[in-house]
Amino acid sequence: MKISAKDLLEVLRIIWSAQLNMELESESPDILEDPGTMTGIVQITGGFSGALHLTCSRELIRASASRMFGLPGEDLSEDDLRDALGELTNMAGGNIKTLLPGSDDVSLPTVVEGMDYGVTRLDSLLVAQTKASYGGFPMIAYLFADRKG
Amino acid sequence: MAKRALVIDDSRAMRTILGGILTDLGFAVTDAEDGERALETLRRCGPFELALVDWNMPLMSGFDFVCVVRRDSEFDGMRLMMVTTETEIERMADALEAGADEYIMKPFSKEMLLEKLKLLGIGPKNH
Repeated sequence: MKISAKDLLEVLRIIWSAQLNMELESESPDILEDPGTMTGIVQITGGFSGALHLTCSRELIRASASRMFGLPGEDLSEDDLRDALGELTNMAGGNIKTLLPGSDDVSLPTVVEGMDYGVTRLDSLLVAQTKASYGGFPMIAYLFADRKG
Repeated sequence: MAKRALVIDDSRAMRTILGGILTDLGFAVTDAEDGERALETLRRCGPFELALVDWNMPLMSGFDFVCVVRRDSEFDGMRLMMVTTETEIERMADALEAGADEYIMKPFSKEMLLEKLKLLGIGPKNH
């Protein structure tokens, strides 16, 4: 089964809605204009081999972590934000995996901060990407598939 | 005396969510960030009424934790619920065969977790 941008958006919407009671919008400002971003990455292996990258506005993650920890956003630490994004990325990877028969495992998440970095997944293709937002704060998700494997 | 629940997840955010729901239900909640630490807690504190177990964790996975716990008859009465993004039938069948009593898929709502706890006979109506 191929994953479309619509599938990817639906997975994100379900996660934010069911777990956090937050309704994501499909319209999103340009994430490159956001002053602070964080990216969660998980690898998916098995019949489908690839990776999910979830880049979010820090303020979107702060709002999400606030729901998860039950604390005001200003009381959250940087570790809390990383933990929340890591878990949300893990959930997204796990739910996408269920749409890809034969996929075996989702790795533990990696969290990267800022935009001033480059990530190259060797010999892979971007197969789907989607934007979403909450309260005007953007996120963008990329699903990469390895050419081999 | 409150029933005791053990929440095992490498994410502090998930431990907070699950712990909050169980505390609201009247459980005394202890948490652990991986299977190995959860086993240490069991050895130190004895059996809990319920353990909510993440699947994908460092050091020792939730599946391995279930296998170890079910090899020890001291913990036969513990209810073990996998809390996971794993939904493949084969994987869940493996977990249930290894001794898990129930599973719930992330993301979940509070109501979904309550329904699962009722299936285990430890939901609000059974308090």
